[in-house]
Amino acid sequence: MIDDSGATTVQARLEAHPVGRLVISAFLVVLLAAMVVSNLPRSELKRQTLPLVEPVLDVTALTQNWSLFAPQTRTTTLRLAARMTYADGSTDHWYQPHGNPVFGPYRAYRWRKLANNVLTDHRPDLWADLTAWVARNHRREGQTPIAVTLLRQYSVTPTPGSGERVRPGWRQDELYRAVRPSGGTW
Amino acid sequence: MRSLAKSWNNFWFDPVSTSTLGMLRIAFGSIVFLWTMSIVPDALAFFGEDGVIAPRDLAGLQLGLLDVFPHDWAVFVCVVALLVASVATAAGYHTRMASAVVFIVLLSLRRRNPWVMNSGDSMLRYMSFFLMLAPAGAALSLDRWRSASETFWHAPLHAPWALRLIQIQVSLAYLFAVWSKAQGAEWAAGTAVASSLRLGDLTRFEIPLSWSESLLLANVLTYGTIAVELALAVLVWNRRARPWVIAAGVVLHLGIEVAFGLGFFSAIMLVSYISFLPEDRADRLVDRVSRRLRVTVAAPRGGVGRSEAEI
Repeated sequence: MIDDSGATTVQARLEAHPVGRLVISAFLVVLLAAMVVSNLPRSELKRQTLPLVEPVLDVTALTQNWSLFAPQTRTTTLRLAARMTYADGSTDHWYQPHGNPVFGPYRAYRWRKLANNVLTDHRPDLWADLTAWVARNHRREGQTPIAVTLLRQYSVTPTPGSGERVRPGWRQDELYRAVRPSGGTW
Repeated sequence: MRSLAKSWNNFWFDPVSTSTLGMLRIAFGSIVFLWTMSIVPDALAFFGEDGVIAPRDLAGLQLGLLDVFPHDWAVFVCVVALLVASVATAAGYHTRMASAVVFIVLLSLRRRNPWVMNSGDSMLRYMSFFLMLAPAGAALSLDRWRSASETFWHAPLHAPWALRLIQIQVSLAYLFAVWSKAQGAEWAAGTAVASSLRLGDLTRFEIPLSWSESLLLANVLTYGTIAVELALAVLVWNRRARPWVIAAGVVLHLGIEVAFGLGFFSAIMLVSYISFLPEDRADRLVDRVSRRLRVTVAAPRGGVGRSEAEI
């Protein structure tokens, strides 16, 4: 058993023994290789070595991607929205949550991340699920919408130094439209 | 060959004080607690049976608790377990088990819905994995208090290989961040940071365009970011340069925190810097705190606290 205080532990004895050090060293080499390979850019080296470390990455979830704001930065401000249409012909909108500027980002960043995945990474496999969730959570008089349309709203930001102004308002594209299934449940 | 083996052994296995690890564990547990609290309102929306993304089959060994139990009650259990385990980790109570629970739940949430996680969340998960392997409860913990209360403030020595993994993870993160930026035209042109400051969905406040219009300022911010990240990847290993490099990293992340709404990203990166605190400094810091606490505790008993502390 391993003592939580770290006093005299199996781990400490293993670390002090030459064979134990060898075992831990092999484990470290495998981990480091997995971390480095996972970080490599798309290349022949990565293509050939990734299968070797994939089981390690799967178990440890050490898969990495540190392309923050890179290589390209976005040039559009994005917002995910959905338009709900009800049986009486009325419509309503849902927007990704924002919250206040001080504490809001600690919750809203996950919605923004979802929005980015849905909007910028072109993941059509996420659209149907998200549309159904919007429908289930926006009942009116007990009825879900008869149709939901996912909207990609955006405003183009000018390049720094260009002296251009931002065009006011949002532009939007319709990403996906779903109609309530015949059974009536989304 | 022999000197290489000796260097390898020194780096990974030469016992060092666990006070740095203890401090890192306290900060890490605290940030996991806040992270979990922030996910409570959306837990069912993100991870529940009828969430924004339906449960899907994962390939290979990518299993998580919510893939085995794709139910709302399992989400509730995971969130509660994470709250309890984060407090236990910070306090150092049954530390090994607590940190293992933190890792397993973070992994499970990620597997259930990776589309709502950012790089900070990934860093939190990596650190939980490495801390689970470390004797993180050896110092400054309830585990220490329970096993050796009379020497509570004394941090035992242990092989630092798990702590080294955290340090290497931090270094690799910045190295590959720089690599990725080096491929981008706007980073090369020195306008990337100014462009990012114009993205209304990323920034915490609406930043007037005029603030990011100066190309000179844009260049300083962009190239400065690359320089600091490169230093954090490489120069952080130089003990003399380290305080300056870490200080630059702190400034960088405080700037990111104020300008952008990236959740816990900056806070987690700053917590990871604790892993680079030299053990002798950490020991001195612990010693100073323990003396101060002894003074504070002893003084009301008859005003002899100071002399007791000096003894």
